[in-house]
Amino acid sequence: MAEKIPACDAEAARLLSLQTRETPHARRWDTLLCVLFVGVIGIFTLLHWLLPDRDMSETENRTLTQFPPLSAKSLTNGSFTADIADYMADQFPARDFFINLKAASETVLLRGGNNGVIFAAGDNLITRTDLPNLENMESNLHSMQIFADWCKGKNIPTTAAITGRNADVMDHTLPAAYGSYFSDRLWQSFAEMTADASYPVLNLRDPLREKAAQGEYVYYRTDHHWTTLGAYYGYAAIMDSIGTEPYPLTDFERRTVSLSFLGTTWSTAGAGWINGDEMEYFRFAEDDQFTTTVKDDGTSFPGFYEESYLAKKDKYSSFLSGNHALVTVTQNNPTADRETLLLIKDSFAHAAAPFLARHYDLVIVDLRYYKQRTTSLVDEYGVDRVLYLMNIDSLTGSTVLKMLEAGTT
Amino acid sequence: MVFSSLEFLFLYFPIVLLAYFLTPLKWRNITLFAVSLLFYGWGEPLYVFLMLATITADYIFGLLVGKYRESNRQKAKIWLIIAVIFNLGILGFFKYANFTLDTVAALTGIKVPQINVTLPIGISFYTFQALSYVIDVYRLDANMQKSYTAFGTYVTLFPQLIAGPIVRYQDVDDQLRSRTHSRALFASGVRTFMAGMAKKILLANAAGEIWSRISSAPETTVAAAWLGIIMYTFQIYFDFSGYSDMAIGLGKMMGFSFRENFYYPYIADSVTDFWRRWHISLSTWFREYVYIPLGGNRRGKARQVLNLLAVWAFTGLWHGASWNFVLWGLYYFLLLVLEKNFLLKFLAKLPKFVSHIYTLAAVVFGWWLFVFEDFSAGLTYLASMFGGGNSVGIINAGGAWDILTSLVLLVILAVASTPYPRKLFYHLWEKHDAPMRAMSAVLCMAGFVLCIAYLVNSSYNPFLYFRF
Repeated sequence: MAEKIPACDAEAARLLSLQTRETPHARRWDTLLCVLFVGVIGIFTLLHWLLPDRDMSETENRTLTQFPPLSAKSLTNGSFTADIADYMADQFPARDFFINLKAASETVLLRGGNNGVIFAAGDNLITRTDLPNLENMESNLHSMQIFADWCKGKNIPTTAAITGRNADVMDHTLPAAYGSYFSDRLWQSFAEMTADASYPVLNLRDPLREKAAQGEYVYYRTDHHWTTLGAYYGYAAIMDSIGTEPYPLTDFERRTVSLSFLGTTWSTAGAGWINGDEMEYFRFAEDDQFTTTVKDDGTSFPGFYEESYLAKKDKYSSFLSGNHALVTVTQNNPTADRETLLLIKDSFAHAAAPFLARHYDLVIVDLRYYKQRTTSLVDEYGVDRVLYLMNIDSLTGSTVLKMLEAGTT
Repeated sequence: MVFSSLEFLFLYFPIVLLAYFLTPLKWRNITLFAVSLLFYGWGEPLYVFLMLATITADYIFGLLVGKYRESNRQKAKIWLIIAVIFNLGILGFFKYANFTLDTVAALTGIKVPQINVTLPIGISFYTFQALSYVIDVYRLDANMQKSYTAFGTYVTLFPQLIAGPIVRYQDVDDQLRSRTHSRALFASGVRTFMAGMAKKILLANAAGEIWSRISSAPETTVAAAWLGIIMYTFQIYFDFSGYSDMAIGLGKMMGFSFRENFYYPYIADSVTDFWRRWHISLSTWFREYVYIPLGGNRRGKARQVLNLLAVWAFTGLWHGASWNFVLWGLYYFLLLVLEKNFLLKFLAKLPKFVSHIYTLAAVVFGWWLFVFEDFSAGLTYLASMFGGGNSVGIINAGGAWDILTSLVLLVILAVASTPYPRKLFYHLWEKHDAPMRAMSAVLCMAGFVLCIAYLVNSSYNPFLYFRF
């Protein structure tokens, strides 16, 4: 059957004959290409399978996948081969180099960021925000209202203080074409949803954003958290709302504890060329005369800081020793009768806790980990006041605050 | 397992290279058959037996058809029909059973239970390949294959097993019996493979990331919606053609010569032209084994239209068991019939760029039909492109940012869709052989390292447990 050769096959044949024709140097260069290709495959294969595996990635703050167990079941249901893929990805040699190379390549392509992090002005690494889930926020605010009403019935006042994401607060560093559109949309919805709240709900984004625009260092450049200074401003706004004079800034000794804090947005962006942040503790007289107790495991330490974290990557965890379900902070020898504050929070509250502890004994609960009734805590610790302190991401990210409703009826 | 994965490149492929080239020439088909089964079993540890059953059955059908094809056409035809029913039956059960049940349920309102089957990877591809063998043997277009391993190798050949190109038996018949390996051919294979990998990992994935973000956003803008569908248009081309190139390149390394599967489809100046350039191995298959046997254009205009309708309904359905694919196929049927009857003559009178724009618009709209299996989501997206749906204006800050940060990528995607980069490269090669060979080595290796970086990054997953 004489079939006309399609143009594409004719062209492919022509190009193939060009490549395979015998020219003076053809053998040498073809050999080089073959050796390089097989060499790269061979070397990385050997390195990958011979080098010892790592347990943990500090940059990513997680344990790495280990070689999966082989069984008849895992083999037939396909989970073994799927796990091998995860294992290889996690243990691949020179992983950090490749991740930085990808970030650099995205920069050359003027992509403006990498892995969902925007390279904003002044080396600020800002998490890209599209319009988040507003239904989650509505549900969480509803749960917060129910719990506040229940507390009100016991004559316990509630305050909420919600702070912004780095994109909300540091929006002056974002490229004009990105701007604060999504932030403004979200905070507008937040304002609408909290307009009818029967307790004070503070928007901490606006005051912090103002400070940031004035050049104050209120959010880390390489992390999603606020700095200790940002946390101080948050604390001051809360105390103003409660009607208690906050301690003035001059009443603290600002001590730099690290100049190389590389946070979560730095890790995500893979932007190895960006320098770390400065981290401060705001110390005050006799602030070591407090005890922080992690109720999860009963451990406790003096003061508010677990300084061993400063030697690790995850330096923000030195505040209150990071994430736990239930933590208390008490003064060792109280000179006066102190009120107890139930702090329902996410990790943003960790940097603010030392300030609040100057006024209150703290019962700090994180509902992502604490799976019992919050109402029971109120009775158990004789709570006098409730404060919700968290980032707006915690309101939109999940409906974990639903837990607050347990025991209110 | 796909080629653009760490486990292919740094686990499976080195084993294949070692095993294949250490095997003496005459045993290489067995090695290839074995490693191909391993390749398939990696992703489908159970369905590999289904594939083996298909291979065995079609091997026997081939022997039977071959035995009678000259002495007793009637008998040969009966075996051919049994083979067709067998193959399409398996494909129909695993791919279309639930779709058929759903459709029946929707039409009659009767509640029909679903059958618990998952789609075996690549079944549409390898079934068509196996079937082409029996048909080729019946038509005397190919010799019957007496060697089970050679036939098994043909069906399972890992480069094209799960995503094509669909290799017709007559095209590789000789190569299965004997093929030559050479350094120059291997080097050429590396070039083709690397080009395909770069298309898939560097271009298709980047375009796809933008598309999936835009298409899943709760609200969008007119500009972003257009950017999204354009990105999908690039994604599907570079993804699919990149995969075909990788297959062709791997084939070359092992001495096979497969036909091209894509030929710059986005420079087409009519939809007819587009379909000569897009997934060529599939259109060829349908032309050779459906359109022409039905009579093609030799039985009058009415019959031709009917034949085209059959081909395009099947082409649509082949892409997936969902009505949007059927609609997509029928959409092209309509356009092709219009073009054949008067549109082509009309287009010929217009300036070239007009027919080019018409074709691109038709193709982009086609991809819109193709990508949304959920029809109402599709309609919403289409409305967004014209100011309705989820769009909140022509453009906003987030959308402008998406466009600005995609500009360089868009230029690269557009240029890479044209023949010019390759033309230029080979033009220079004809004149300066040694420097361009060196250059190809540098480009291949730089591309390889960059591809590895993107692969490693795609698994990079900072765990922000202290987030929020």
